Amino acid sequence: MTGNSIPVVEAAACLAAGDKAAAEARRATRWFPAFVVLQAGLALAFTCAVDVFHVSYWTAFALLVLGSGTAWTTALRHRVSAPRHGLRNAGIAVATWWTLYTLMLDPALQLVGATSPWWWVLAGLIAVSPIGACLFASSRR
Amino acid sequence: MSHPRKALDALIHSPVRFSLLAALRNLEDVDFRFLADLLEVSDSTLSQNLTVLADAGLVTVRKEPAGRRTRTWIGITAAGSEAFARHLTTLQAIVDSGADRVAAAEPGRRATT
Repeated sequence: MTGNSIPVVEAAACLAAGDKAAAEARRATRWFPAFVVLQAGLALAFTCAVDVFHVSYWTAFALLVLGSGTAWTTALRHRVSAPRHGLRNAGIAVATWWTLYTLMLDPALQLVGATSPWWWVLAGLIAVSPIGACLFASSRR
Repeated sequence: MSHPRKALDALIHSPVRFSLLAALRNLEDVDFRFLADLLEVSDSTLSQNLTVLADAGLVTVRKEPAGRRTRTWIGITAAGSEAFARHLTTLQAIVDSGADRVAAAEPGRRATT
């Protein structure tokens, strides 16, 4: 095939085919970072709604379950194009966020009598960081 | 100076293997099923081409149990990424040399387009 000659048109067609395959691959997999950002946003919104804006806990919880449930249902439907260990790690990250915030950071802030809402914003950001880490490919190696 | 075609890698130049490496270079490890759908090839065609690339050390093929089934994950190696980049550079050089020849043969053409 690459023996004596390769026409310029064939080389150009090869380059075009490569670009097309690369673009399609990127398009088919770009939902995963969006899913991670959405999940992190929902988690942070939940903690801020409950502890900063004092929204009813069960209202915020219902919205969190609804939003996360929709996001996960969509993600599982596209799981064949998810990166290796992507969904598994995202699930572990969500469980870590929940444990970290509700069992450790929030009770700790109440125990020390923190009053500024910024402490809860900071706690929310720290708790959500494991979900954010799922954006990086290095977290799946 | 030798012709750029001599630097082309016959292993990569096959259409399926070329598209496969082009896709993998932009992805992390991906599922076999996803790759077959993306490239619109049958499982056996993909499997045969992956075996060729894996034997040459250009891709990795990992099988992992997933419940009762096995999932196969495909990734590109550093050597595969480098070989593909070299192949692309060579193809681009061939295209550029062809464009230069056309411009030299028809000097007025480029200026008018």
